[in-house]
Amino acid sequence: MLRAAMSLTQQSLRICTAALVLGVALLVSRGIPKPVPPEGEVQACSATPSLAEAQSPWIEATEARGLLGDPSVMFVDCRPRDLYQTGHISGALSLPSDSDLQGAALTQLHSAQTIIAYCDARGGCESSHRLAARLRELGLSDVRILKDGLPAWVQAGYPAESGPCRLCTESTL
Amino acid sequence: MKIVTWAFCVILAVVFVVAAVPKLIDPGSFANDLLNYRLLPENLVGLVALFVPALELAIAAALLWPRYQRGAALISLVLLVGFAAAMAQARIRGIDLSCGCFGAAFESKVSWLTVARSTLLAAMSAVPLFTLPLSAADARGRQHV
Repeated sequence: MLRAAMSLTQQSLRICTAALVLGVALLVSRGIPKPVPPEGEVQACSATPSLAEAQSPWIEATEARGLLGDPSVMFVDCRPRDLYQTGHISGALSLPSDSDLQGAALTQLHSAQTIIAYCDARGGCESSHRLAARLRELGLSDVRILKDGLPAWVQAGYPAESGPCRLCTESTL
Repeated sequence: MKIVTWAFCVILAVVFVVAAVPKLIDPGSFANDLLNYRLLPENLVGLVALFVPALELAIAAALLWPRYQRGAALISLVLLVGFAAAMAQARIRGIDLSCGCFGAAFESKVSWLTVARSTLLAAMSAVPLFTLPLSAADARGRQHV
């Protein structure tokens, strides 16, 4: 039994070594790849504005800060719910990209004239782009994307809080 | 049973090659898919994007080499269970992303169907792991019995 386990371990280690050698060869010949969003994908929350500029205008953190507390402006957090609970812009609505945008949630969104969507500005930020596109399809014309997302907001020391979503209704949960 | 085991090894080897090649051609897209899972730090995804397809190719070759089939089946099982778990956590956390399973060549969104597919492939890996003889010596022993 012990011999069998050793034989299996030995086989596995040899395969892993072969993979490691191949990986190192790739690393030496090509270098470490950097994350590249697929062609046509819009980096709605990335640091470098791209196609999103034409679809959803960017808003700087300083300008967005001035709109916090304005009843006609709603901040929408498009990250997963667990990340929202660990920290978000004060008073923001949690709305992950696959949320049901019907009923009370939609009424709540339509009550705002301007929506500022944000995420954590990592990678391609597909979910944020998709949410902004869905909101525009639902007739919400003034949807803006917070440039550099939540990290820039927190770094600037602007109001943030943690905990569950106070604005969320049953349909957005 | 031997035919079924070999058939599973061949199917798994083909799947791993089909999965690895697009990732090697376009490692940047695969790194982006990995980043969207929100499981790895940003400075690690590039390295993982290089080593995962390398491991997939090594597993594919070993699955077709009788001497290493069981070891390959074990690594395949662990890798596929890991993939299924990563996709399941993304679904549970509500992260909407491309699975990156076959690189940028065959884009598909993470869903419970992709989780089930990985689980099925993991189950297929268990067949050679538990039915093949442990070593050439064991194989000879079984033939003598």
